[in-house]
Amino acid sequence: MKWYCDRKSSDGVVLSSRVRLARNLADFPYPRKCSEADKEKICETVKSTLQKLACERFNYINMNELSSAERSVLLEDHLISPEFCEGDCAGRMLVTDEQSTVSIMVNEEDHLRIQSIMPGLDILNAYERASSVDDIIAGGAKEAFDKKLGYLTSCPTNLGTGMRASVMLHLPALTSCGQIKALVNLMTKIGLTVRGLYGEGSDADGCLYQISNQITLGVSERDAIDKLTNAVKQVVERERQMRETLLSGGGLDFEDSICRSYGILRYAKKISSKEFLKLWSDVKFGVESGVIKDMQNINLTRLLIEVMPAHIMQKYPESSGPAQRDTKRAEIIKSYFI
Amino acid sequence: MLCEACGKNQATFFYKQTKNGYTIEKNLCSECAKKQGLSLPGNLFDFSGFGGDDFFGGLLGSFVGNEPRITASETCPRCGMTLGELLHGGRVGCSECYNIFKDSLMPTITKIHGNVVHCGKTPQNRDISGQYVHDTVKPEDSREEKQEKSESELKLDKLKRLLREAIDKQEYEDAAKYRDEIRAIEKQQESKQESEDNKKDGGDAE
Repeated sequence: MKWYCDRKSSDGVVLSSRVRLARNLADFPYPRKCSEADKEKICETVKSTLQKLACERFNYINMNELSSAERSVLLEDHLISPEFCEGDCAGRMLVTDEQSTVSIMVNEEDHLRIQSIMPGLDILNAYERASSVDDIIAGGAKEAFDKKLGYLTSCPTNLGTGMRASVMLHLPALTSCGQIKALVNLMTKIGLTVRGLYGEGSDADGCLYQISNQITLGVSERDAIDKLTNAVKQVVERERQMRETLLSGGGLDFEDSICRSYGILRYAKKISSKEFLKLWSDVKFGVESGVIKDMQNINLTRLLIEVMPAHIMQKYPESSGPAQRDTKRAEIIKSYFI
Repeated sequence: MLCEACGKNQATFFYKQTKNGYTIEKNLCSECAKKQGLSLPGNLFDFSGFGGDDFFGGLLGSFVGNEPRITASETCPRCGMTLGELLHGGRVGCSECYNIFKDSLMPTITKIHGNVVHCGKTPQNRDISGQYVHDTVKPEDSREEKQEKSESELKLDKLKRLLREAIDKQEYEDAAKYRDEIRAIEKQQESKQESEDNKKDGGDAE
């Protein structure tokens, strides 16, 4: 099951936890400097190792064989990075497991980017899943590793554990109270990074943010995960406090603005991506604060992903223009309320 | 291409300087380049603050184009990566690059991560049982000694990090305090090492 189809991803402030491990094979230059033939060999090594040593079945997708629409769907699912589907995809392979809990980008910036996404706040579980796949690879191929520098990576910012852990959060109250800038500063001080998920700057669309670790060398995986988990828990606590304040202090005006967004989301005939994100954020806030009562069983995270442009185009191939997609988007939203 | 100076080794160091309209070009091996005092400066990079994965490329790139126009480049024999390319892109070409460009890369790596060594998972000692590597129990006999050693080393690493931070923040009083503590620990380690060596020498003599 994809991470966003799990109800846990829609239950609160934290939508998902993601861990990515950067690994390289010792016997080949890194993807930027390696030949097409070497890239093929790397794909072959990964495939044969997994087939030989893993107990489960994996799917192997040659990126060159996918249409650009299919690639965009993977991107919107957060299964691949933007860099992975840019330009010529020759020699790039995506490996996924049957449950879609783990994926490997082969020949992205590093030979392997092993990634696992779990719904809700569960970084440790995501790490263990990615790490177990890393163990299988290490059993069949020699990984580039140095005693002092740890796992060797194409970019020196990833040296050491090669691990980037990130958590996706919905922070409407902190955003509307102008607290994001302070949050960014605080997180930077303790070695964490905050980024808007859609749109740059401190006022991200949909109030969706990503908090991730910055340092990878000299810190063990567990310490980095513990630190990030603790920081996220505190951010969630602040967000909840701020929501209480808004709810008690905002009174009728606050409820009115939430319910207006709910009305538009539910009854509009066409909605653009940007407008949707704003309404979605208001409605999610409304559901979780008890202002909107008849949407408790709707998985809003799934809705968020399924009305993105590539997902709409996959479902309705005829809706190639933005205007047609806006109409289809409204239709899909409506189907959630039936 | 062979080194112009010794004619023996492969030239990996290409030096070019334009001054008053004259261009001097030298193609040397890394040893001869060092002898002629042409090796690359230790700390090429300076940056303040960082954001995201891409800052590294930017800060490396900021060096390129600086006056005076000296282009000195070494080449990685394994992947063909040149230092210029590395400075522009901020990415190495292969594992060997970390050896070849060590002098240029280490100061930056230290700036990003601190003066530290890797701890955590290793491919040799991987966590099959789901355990973290640093949680696994080491053999009884070597355990105590190793822990003691790493403890003082860890303390030293931490102090060095604090020292650097204090200097960056221009808090010189704190910096002096850290410096003294570092010296004390280093002295302690030296004298310990010496006494151990003496013991060994004495043992051999008997």
